[in-house]
Amino acid sequence: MRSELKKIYNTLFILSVLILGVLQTGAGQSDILLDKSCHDRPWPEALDMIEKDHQLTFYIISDSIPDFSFKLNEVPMLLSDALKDNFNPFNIQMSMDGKGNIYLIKGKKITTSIHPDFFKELIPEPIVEPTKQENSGFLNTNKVHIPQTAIVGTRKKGINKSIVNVSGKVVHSNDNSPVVNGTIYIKEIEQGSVTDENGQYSFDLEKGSYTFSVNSLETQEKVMKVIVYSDGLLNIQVDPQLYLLEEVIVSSDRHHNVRGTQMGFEKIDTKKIKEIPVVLGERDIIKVALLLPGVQSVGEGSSGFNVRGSPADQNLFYLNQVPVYNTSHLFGFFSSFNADAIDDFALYKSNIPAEYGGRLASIFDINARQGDMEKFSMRGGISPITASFLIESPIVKDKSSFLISARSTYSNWILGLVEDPTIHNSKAYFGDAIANFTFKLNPKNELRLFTYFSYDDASIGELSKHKYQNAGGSINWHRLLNKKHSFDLSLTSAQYNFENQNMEYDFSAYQQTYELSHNELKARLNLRPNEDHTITVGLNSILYQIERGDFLPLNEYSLISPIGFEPEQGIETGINIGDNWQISPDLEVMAGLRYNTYSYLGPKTIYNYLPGYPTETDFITDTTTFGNNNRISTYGGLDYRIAGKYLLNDNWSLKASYNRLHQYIFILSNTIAISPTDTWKLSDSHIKPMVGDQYSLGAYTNVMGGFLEFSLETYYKHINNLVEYKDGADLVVNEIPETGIIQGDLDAYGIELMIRKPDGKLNGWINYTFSRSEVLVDNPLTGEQNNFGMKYPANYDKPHAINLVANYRISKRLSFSGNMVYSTGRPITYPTAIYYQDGIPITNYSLRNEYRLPDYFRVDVSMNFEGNLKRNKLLHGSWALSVYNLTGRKNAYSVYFKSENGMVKGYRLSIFGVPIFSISYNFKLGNYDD
Amino acid sequence: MMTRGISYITIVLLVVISSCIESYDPEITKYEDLLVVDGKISNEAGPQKVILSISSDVHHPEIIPVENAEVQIFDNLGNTLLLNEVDPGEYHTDSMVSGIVGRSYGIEIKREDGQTYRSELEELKNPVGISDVYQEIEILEFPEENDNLYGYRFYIDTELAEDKENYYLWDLEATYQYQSDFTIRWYFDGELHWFHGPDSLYNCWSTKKIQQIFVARTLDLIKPQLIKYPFHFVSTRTRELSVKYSLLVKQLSISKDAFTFWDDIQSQNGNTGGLYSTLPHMIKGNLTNIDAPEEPVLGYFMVAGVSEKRIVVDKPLDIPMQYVVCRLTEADFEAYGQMGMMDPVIYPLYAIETPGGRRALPHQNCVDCRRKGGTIKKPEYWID
Repeated sequence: MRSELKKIYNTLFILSVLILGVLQTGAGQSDILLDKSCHDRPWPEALDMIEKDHQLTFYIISDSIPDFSFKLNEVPMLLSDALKDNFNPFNIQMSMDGKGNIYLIKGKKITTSIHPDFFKELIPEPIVEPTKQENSGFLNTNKVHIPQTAIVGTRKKGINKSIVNVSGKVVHSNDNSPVVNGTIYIKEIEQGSVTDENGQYSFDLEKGSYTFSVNSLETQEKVMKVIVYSDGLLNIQVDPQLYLLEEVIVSSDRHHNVRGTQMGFEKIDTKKIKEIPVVLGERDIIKVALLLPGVQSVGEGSSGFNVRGSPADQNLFYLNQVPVYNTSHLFGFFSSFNADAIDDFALYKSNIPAEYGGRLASIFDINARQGDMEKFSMRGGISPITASFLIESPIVKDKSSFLISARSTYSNWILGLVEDPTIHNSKAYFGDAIANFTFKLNPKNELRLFTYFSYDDASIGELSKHKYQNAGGSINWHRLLNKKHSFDLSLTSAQYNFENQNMEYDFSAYQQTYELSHNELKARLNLRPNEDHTITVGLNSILYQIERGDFLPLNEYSLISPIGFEPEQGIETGINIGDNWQISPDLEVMAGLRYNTYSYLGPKTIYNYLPGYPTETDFITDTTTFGNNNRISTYGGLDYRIAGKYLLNDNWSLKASYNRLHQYIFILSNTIAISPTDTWKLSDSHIKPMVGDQYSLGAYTNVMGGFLEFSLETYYKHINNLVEYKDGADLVVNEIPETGIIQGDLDAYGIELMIRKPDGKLNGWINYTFSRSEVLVDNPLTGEQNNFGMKYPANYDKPHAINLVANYRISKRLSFSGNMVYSTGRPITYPTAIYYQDGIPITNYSLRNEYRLPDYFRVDVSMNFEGNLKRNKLLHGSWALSVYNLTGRKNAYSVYFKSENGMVKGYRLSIFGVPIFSISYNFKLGNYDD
Repeated sequence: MMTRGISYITIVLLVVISSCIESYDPEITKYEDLLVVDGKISNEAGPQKVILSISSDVHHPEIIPVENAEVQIFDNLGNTLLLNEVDPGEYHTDSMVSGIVGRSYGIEIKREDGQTYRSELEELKNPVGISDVYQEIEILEFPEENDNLYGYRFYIDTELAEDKENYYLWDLEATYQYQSDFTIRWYFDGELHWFHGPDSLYNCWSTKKIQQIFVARTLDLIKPQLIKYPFHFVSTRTRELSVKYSLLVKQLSISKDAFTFWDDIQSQNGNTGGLYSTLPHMIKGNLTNIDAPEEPVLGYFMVAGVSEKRIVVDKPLDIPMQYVVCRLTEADFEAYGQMGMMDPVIYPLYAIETPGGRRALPHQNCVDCRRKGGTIKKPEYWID
């Protein structure tokens, strides 16, 4: 290929050239006529000839176009018509400027016939002055109507006003779904606005002519001229960032890193998840989250994660507003979210918006996909252990849709292969499903119904049985109040329950049940008094009801005496107000206040203890009985949330935030990882709510026009009333949990450095985190201590962590990706000495978490291979081949010691001590890009 | 019991996912020379014993005695009793001394360097009787070794206790009879002699303390009585079940704190270190340095009400014996001919004769049962 035919890999570069320089009315090129010489030649050769003959330059991503012969249907033929005929089938759009440059850029879907709505950029709505569309002459030669100029309002209506309001909705061109967190940047006034979760935006502008640049994570950048005459509605359709294949993570959200006020914030869509290598063929958003800075876990196959030095129960998982209390399948080896049904997730680990509360460390907000409003589609997948399917369809076209997805395991066959009788006789089932319904009642009202269900059912030989379930649903009503304001109301209900049976010994065989229910009402008002303020006012109230269940003998041989645990309930209410204030073009502040009040409610019998003594059974003085719904204890607290961004220039910004949160529910667990017998417990009269403060500071820059994004964040976090456990406390069969609990303080701090290459054939990120997390338990009032009153590292304290994620697209059908994970080993308590009691050697342990496991290191790779790309076919298939732990490094999951012949011998247990291969197949009805 | 199911999950998954367990010795740089107290006072006949030592390196476990300390037991009535150091680090009362049920006892130790350690008073509880100890055949499966382990599991039934809360620790001593594999016909001490009383080195009895910790409490039960509480397991891999087996069960009624101490130790000794096991921790005993209360002192001075029961059981009939027996080889026959050339230090040598009249000199462990550690003196309680 000759040098004139520029090979440019970076789509962004072309886009930015387009934006900056070439949006002028083309002249001349459209008149170029081609003669027969270039007919029926390979297309690169044909373009070479055209370049030479007509002094043109083509900019094209050549490797995305298969080989074909360039053909002319008539001779002579208009250049633009010829290009269109030849390249449109490959989804290549063309643009020309007046300087002899022609850009061939892919972007639209492959469609044999163009959908009627496809180019309908602006949707006039009858309630306000319709917006006119004007086509410039720019591209009219190829008869594709891409309006370049929109007119808002009429001259007549705007005659007496100088400031007018432009508002509207940014939607995806393919399904009219809202573009959330999209940015609209107006070049002339250097101001921007971010669309809300319904795609709404609003500006107050002087009348005049503007250039709007519309961007978001999942869409292509769109630049348009807007002439503003009076108040009006301007709805903007943007094209999804769809490529011939979805291999590339393209999120050309270049403003986000620097311009967005959010810090400690990560948003990832499923495309990224698709490429990251997997264990046993299961894509997993939690595993992806673990590759982000500041997110750690105690070990492979453990449930949940730790954000910025906080315990795992300080994360709140929302799946379409439904809280999920147990996020794992198979005790933590997989997450209970089926990645196929998920659109994206956002992780707030620093400044959590005031509308959220209740957890100190993070909000993990998962968005399930909404059903396609236009057509039916179905897809599925098969991996070594699960099968899944997904169906989506309109109910009434463009008005309502549904999506149903389900996943189930058939992993028992693996257990059946194992000779060990206990394992051979073990069973493990799990599955999950979601259903999502969307109804557009009218242009102003939308109703969404969502349900979620996950279950696990495992039996371990004849030793024990564990069943647990999450179930939940939400109803959301979204109403546009007028062009600027909106109102949301949601009702949510979620349940988590489990049943454990233990029959290891007849005499102590027991069963235990547990159920937590969470019912929540949430209302939110979004106000846009002017373009500088976005005000959110909200109220939510949660009723927690916990059936601690019964501890019952399992059979007639059991000598266990039944214990009926008292249920508990509490109500948590928060009112919040937040403002996102653009003080100046460079300075933006997000501030919020949230007042929480929490009451622990009867019926309940409360034990009273001698004042100044530990909460131990020996010091119980008497009991107090509270009637139904009587307030036993009430706590209140004000949460402060403030974050500010200062833009040093277009490419640099500084951000700072301070957050205070309160948490009223926690997991009772004295094991290193969360286990399926662990229960959630409410704060009560003895166990005070946890309070967390976090201070963060960060610097952000984009270099080379967003080619690379850098961010550096530091934080300090302090948690009061951290719930810790007395040494050796039994929490499972403890009627009086406070006797096993001791509250302390946690200090965590760290630095997170992230470098991201968001786009291109090669994309990915690398991050380094330095962090510490230390616990101090020393109650001077009662004299209770852990670790003799000295600070000790939290179980998940891993000071150094490096994650590297890289995806490389070889061709449109083949892509590779890999990741590398390094971290310091987790802390551990080691045996340090031997002593004897009655002739028996006994191990004495070190101070708590005084030692560390060896460092952790892992490399995974995967290859995605797509089936053929024929346009009309019944089924599109793709294969994913993964190798987890490529180097086979025997990372220590744990180190333990056993006394053998009077000697203490150490052992290292590795779970994935060899490379794990897996292959999975995914299919979809119809072609890939549908 | 609670966490075993969960740690089994880890094992299930790790077997499935080809995990591995390897020997691993982390560098442990710190170990502290902590005082260890090991002793008790009970209603049993004296002497009451206390051993003082210092904790040792995990790789070289040993008892390092603490000598020349002043050790005294005191009670709630103000009486004190000084113990004598009979062996380095081993302190005894008079043989007449035993604890009195209902009284409370504590210990005070003054080391050579003047450091003084004390325990709190604990009550000597009324011992709860053992109503039965019995056994059942049990088969433990070990598929990795492609083998099963056959043996007896012992169970205990206690009497109904008076209090709701009872804490037990069991101290087990096993005595078993075993036999030589061959009967002696000749002995050689430079000259060959006919061996009179061929049975005299044929039957032996061996006694050993069972080095496992068994504890239980009655708090969770409907009534304060343990029924069929499983504890000791003995397999047919050794000769313990080859003839007859006796178990002496001492049931110690101890305080809640002592129970917590032993229970923690027991659960930590079986700790697999998995993510679902509780965090191990330093287990402090019940003594405190009165001048430096933060100094950890290891070990427990127990105050216990003791009851005991002995049972003698026959060997199991329906399960295979898995212990190794001697077989005669050609070398044994040859050795007989070379007896005269052997070092007299190892005299006497015992020889056997096959029914066919061939003489052999087998490994002496196969003919002299004392060589396996037992004694030929039959215990008084033994019933043939």
